[in-house]
Amino acid sequence: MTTTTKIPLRKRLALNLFRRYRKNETLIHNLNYIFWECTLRCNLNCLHCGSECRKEAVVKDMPAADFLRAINEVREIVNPNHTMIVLTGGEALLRKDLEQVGLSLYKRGFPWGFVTNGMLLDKQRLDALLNAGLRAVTVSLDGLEQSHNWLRQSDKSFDNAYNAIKHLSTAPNLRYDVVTCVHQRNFDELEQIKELLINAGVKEWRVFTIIPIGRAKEDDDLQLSPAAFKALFEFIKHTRKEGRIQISYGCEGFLGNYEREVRDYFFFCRAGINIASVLADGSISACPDLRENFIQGNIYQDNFKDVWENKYQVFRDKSWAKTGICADCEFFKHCEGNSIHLRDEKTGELKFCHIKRLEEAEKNN
Amino acid sequence: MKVKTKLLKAHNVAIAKLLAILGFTSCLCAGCAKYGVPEAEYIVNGQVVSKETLEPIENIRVSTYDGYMFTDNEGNYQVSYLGGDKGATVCVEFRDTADQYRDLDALIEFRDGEKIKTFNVGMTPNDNDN
Repeated sequence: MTTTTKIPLRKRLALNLFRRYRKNETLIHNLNYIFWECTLRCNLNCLHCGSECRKEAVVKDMPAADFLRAINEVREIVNPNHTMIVLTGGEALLRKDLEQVGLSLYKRGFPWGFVTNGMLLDKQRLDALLNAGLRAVTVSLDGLEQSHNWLRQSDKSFDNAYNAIKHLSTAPNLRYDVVTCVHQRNFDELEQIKELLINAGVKEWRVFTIIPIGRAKEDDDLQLSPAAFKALFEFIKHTRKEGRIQISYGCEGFLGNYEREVRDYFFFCRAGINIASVLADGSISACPDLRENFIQGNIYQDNFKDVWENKYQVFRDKSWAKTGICADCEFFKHCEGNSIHLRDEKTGELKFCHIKRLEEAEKNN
Repeated sequence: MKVKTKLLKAHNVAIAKLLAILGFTSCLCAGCAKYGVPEAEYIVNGQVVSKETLEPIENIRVSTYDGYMFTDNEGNYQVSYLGGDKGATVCVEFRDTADQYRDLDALIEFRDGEKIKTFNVGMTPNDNDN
């Protein structure tokens, strides 16, 4: 079993080399991934939602032309073919003009994709989206039927998500993955979920833990216990060794000796370094989870290109994050204060530390 | 500014190579979405042997973003990748599911016109340093 803080020499050397790589990437800060929060409307009411979405959104959907104007501004500084645009929400498929938006992006040379709960992704819609140049899809499946429906608060959500996955598995040349948020109610189902996904033809599976933001802040049951948290990493490690499905832990959190054991790359929060987002109200941010003090501008007042080139200091110099529990942490040089979406948007304090949670499990063992 | 960016990029290529020597991926972009509309198929094939004995290794999992296969009893493999038609950099991962050999990753560059490359691999026995 892996011990989180006991990092062997070879990996320590690699982590130190990677620090230099990360510093160079920060200096280059090449924009190559753009999220668009294209709607705050949603057809579900998930218990763990980190978004500000509601069934009846307060903020109206942004006209596609406004987003495309912002994209035209950054075209000068990016290679469109190497810049992925991901439409998120709310539920992106609620937008009836998604195909037209996608085709406009495709014609500008941008690969594009979307994140969905699968409720509206039938074969006909998928074909229409593929004809508009769709390149990537992420579908959420948060457990077997009962636990998925519980988290998603809908009796039909599992069937719809699973059917969407089956449609995606038949689409040629489309990259898709399934994302699962692991919590106390689906933790014991991981082996069964794995078999379900393999049988459905899924190649890539991303596993997240639920972080205390949005609605998830109000429900402690959504957080894994320290022991389950560690057991999850052991599960990912062993599943990767099996090689039957490409499983990985989500992008967040420095994981000590679990680095490169549970995902293909060393931890690096690329928010504001390679990733930008345009939120529903026009705000320019990094990942869509980042609001309030992390907002860098607004497409209705600022030029997107200028914002990318001249702002984002809070993402590119993270010395400010060496406070609170990070102040005297030996891993800060590798972690730089964890993923920015895990820091409080007003105070900057860290809300969750992966290393501390894993250490807690190892101490209790 | 452009010169500085080029130098930084070159430095990162060097770091990627050093990481590969240490047995860690040089595929630093792993986890990013695959970019570009696929227009060409790139094929990587070759043989996997033990660096120590030079004997072929069977059942090594060889993968690209587009799929995987296991080496046959002579250590042979062939994997493919769909990418743009103006060349591509393909990340190929070699994994021993029996955990007897260290993980190995490689970046295979295809320049204009190239569509197939042979890449023979010597895998290092695991030193169980974890």
